[in-house]
Amino acid sequence: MRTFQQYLNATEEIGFIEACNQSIVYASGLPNATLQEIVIFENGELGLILSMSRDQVEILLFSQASIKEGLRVTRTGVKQEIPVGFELLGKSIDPFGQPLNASQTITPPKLSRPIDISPTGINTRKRIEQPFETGVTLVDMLIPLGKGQRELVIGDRKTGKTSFLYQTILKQASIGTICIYAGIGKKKTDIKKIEAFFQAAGIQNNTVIIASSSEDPAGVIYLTPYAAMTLAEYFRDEGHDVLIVMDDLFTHAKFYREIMLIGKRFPGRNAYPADIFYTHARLIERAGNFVLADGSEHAITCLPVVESVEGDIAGFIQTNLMSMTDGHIYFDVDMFGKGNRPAINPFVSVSRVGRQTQTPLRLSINRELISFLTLYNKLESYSHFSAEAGNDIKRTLSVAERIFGFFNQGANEVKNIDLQIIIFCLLWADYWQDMIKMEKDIIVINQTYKSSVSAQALVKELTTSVQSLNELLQAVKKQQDRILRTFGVQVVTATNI
Amino acid sequence: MQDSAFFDNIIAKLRTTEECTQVIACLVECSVPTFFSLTNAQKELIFRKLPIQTIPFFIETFGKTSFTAEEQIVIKRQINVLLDKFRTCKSIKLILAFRPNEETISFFSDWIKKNVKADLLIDLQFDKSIVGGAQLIANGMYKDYSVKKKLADRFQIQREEIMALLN
Repeated sequence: MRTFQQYLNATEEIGFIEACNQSIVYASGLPNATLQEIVIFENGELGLILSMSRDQVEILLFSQASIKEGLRVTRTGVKQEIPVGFELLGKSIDPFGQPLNASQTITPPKLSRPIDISPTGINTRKRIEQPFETGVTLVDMLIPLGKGQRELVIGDRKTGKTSFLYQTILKQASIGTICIYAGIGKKKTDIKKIEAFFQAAGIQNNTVIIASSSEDPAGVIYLTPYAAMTLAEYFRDEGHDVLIVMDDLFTHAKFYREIMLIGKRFPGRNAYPADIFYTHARLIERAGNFVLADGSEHAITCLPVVESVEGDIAGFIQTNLMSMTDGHIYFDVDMFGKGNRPAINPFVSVSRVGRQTQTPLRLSINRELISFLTLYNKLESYSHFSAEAGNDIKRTLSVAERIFGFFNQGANEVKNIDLQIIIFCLLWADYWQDMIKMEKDIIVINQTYKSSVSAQALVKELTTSVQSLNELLQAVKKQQDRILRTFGVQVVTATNI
Repeated sequence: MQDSAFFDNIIAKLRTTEECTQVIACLVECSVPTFFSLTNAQKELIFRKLPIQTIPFFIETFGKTSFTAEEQIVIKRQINVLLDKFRTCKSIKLILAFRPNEETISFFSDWIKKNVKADLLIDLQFDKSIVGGAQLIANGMYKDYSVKKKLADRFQIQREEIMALLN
């Protein structure tokens, strides 16, 4: 980074601050300034040109240092850029590529990329066909995602959204996907927690944290998701699949609103500026499944997060984001209260492109499960009259209870989807009548699977040899004893297989 | 009583923004109703604050002992026009390492008025740190012809040569 004087000598253009208004200042001069260009002030601070009029430029400040009227400013001739490179893996950086911790050292990458670019056109994109596993059984079975999908994660605060994101990152990082976590206006302690989680899970070499804290200027917070997306694009172009988590865009919208209101933009609905949809859409649109110049296919899967208030998912920003993503996963505060973990409401959640990536077997299970749970949802409303319910209804409610028990998983626990399919088959076939035994057996099966090669081979053999749930049920029925022995589960007499 | 061309002459006589500020202050004093009832001696006290080259014009305009009500209205109107003109006058910032004498200022001003724009003023500033030469700022453009820059450029070249040798 050069000094103010060096930039001044290079560009030979100067401006003087005429007025200041919190994070926005107005400067005269700078005749050849361009939109989105970075400017440098006499005191070394940076700003971004937001708009221009005949006599003045409007500059968004990136610092909270005092900027006084009369202060000199000059152009840098560059758009906002972030250094990009594999050196950043395992690091926590701000949107300018600088380490968040002073103690952390980063070898400066040689390349840098502009953070605010237009999304690439349709000719570089390809239909989403590869499944994207989150490691969360409920999502992988009911709301399957595909690589390159943009899936909104929505829910009230403290409903387990972050845990779900951790699990997804853990799963994806463990299979080699590069995961970028963009923390937008987060608390510093939260950023520390994420760092600690990545380190404890041993996935820091596949992850990058780009974060701005709530203490940072609005301009820095505004840039965070754009910087993260730029980094994601770099890794994609280098031939990696990337997962980007934007936590969260509701905060981003609020800070953007603050900037625009200070900049005297006309307020629209909920006082958000008129271009709030565009601001988010052009960001989200940069994710997807891409074909690179060499013909290889790589995806940026995007999980934007948005907070709902009091379970209201019909808010302005929330509905905007729903309409620009390929579905949403809704974390229900009521389900959280009932003890469901994750507290994802499968009846409200949607995945618009994930199903097309599923194998026939998974698709068959997905259909069967959704059909069953829809029935359960209807029946549940009559469950208050349980004394009058018939045996079929009681059985449905009982199976549904076990299914939701099966979907429960620990906060930092990721599960293999093929194994979960086998467990589901056992459950679907009424192998477990007792919930407590089922939970104990599932723990044993999951533990055995991790350590036993034969168990892994068996799961692979079963799931690849069949095309539908019925076929799998028959295969499981035939080999039930073998399966249970392989997984070290105490065999009980099956009633309905 | 003078026409507006007379006031344009005053603008043409002004060289620096500092002089322009002095004239604006004087014109504001001249536009108040009580000014017309001052004696010539009192008026001259006000005119002494003016740039020397503009004093004769002011004495000629306001040196009279009596003004009719109509003349006062016309003068006030013309003063307001002139004030507006002054306030919109463009200036070129000239940063020098020394405080130039009147002759040098006139030389700079004449050159600028002849070669750039007739009503362009010089905003003179002094900065010893530039050692010599000058820095120019106009319409957001910045030109550095200072000795400081020449030295910095020279030192930079030498630094690069030394670094090249060390590497």
